[in-house]
Amino acid sequence: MPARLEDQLIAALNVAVPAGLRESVKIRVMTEVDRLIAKKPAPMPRPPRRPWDVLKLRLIALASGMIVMLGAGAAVAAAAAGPDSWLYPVKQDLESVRAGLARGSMAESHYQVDRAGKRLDEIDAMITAGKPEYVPDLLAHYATHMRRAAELRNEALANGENTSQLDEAIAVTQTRHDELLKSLSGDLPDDIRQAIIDEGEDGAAPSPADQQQGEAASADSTTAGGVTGSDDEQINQVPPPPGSAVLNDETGDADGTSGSSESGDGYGHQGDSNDMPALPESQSAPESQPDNHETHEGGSGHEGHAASPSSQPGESGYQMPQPDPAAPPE
Amino acid sequence: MTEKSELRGLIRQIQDGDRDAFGALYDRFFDSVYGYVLRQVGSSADAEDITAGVFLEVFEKIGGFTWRGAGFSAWLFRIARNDVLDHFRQRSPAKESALMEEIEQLPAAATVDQQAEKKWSAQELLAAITRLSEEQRQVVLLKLTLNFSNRQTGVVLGKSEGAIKALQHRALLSLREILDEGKGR
Repeated sequence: MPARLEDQLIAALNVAVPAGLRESVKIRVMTEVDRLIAKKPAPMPRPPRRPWDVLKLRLIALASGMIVMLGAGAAVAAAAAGPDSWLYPVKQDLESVRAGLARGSMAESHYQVDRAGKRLDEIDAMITAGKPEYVPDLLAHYATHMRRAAELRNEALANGENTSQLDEAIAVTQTRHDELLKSLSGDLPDDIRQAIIDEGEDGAAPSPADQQQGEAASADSTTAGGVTGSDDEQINQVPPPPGSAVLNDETGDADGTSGSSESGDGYGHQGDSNDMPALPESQSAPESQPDNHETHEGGSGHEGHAASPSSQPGESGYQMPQPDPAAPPE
Repeated sequence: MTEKSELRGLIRQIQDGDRDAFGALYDRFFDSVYGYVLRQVGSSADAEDITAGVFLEVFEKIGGFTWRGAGFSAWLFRIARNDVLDHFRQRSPAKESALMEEIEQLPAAATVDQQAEKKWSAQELLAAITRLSEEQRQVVLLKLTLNFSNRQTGVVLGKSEGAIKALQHRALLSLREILDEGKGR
């Protein structure tokens, strides 16, 4: 019997999937799935199906639904709460719980970047509402989230994960932060501005030398597949601390993470400028660590801005604390 | 547990947020989705990207999936087909003709029955398929390679079962004409 045309077509159309292809694509897919899971709130569990009498099942479903709606309503209200709301601490707790549910360093880092973005949204909202007194705390929270995001990003990198999307998200958020602060220039009363400066000083990091020593002691020297380079390279690949973008008042450019570095991944070396963009008309803050000043001028990718008076350490109104390796995780 | 009830359970777990269940779903359907996409786009790199996109879209949308007549496979391949169409919309006409040449040159995994009274090489068959209309080609791919029913195929293509039967009939007639006249060579 001759083979039918249909059978011949089936044979011709059959595709042999190359060995390993399914797994390699799966890695890409599951990484993105983890990121999506970290962004989403945990789904409500579905009630189990049982062969109960219909009326009983409906009553239970109705009661369950009402309880869920009440709880969800509270969570929704908290999620929308601003810093000036009594529900704001609930919102922060919910965010912390979600951070704990994130699977893996990459997913949690993405979530921390999202949280940092929310703090920027809240700063905007508070300024618009005429409540600038919330800004210093919100900036401090922003710094905490970005610091944690940077730590997790390093962990993911050490595990051999591709952090390019994460790096881009971090850079975008940092740029947004810099631009937000620049736009706040005329909106902050002097006392709030001073509070921001004070917040930055209190959280000032140890010198880069001390920090490198601390981080080198804790850094894992064995790198996962795909991660090359020494521990120093990994440390140097930490994105600049939040707010380290230096605003060039003349050009209006925010030169943060886009600068080139020896590691070639677009991040500056540890010890590059950790200055916040200068708040125009702000008074000079006390001199910052001299090490930062030197490495800032020597940092690659920042040469074009080293001479800018607004970018010099000590003259900017606010310095973001360096990631503190000894700080407890959030 | 039947295969269908196993699949239902898997989907329920995914809808409840089970990451590992989604991984199991991926393993179950990857080969068929990849093969379906590759036979249309021709490039393995494009097929990988599109297939990854299909599964991510499945993950994002599966919360809204409910079991209806045609089942999960039809829903999945409807997404796959739409993603392939989106891919083609982004291609220029010059790339489109180059693509057709690529598809014709894709090797088939199996050899054709040597004892058929009338047989064609895999390349001839693939070349002939590229000359069908898009809908006829879809019917051939879905019904023959994935063993979809007329109903499932209709869900993917947005057509009635009767229309699918007609398309399949016309597709096979067209293929015979093309092959007999050597248009696929």
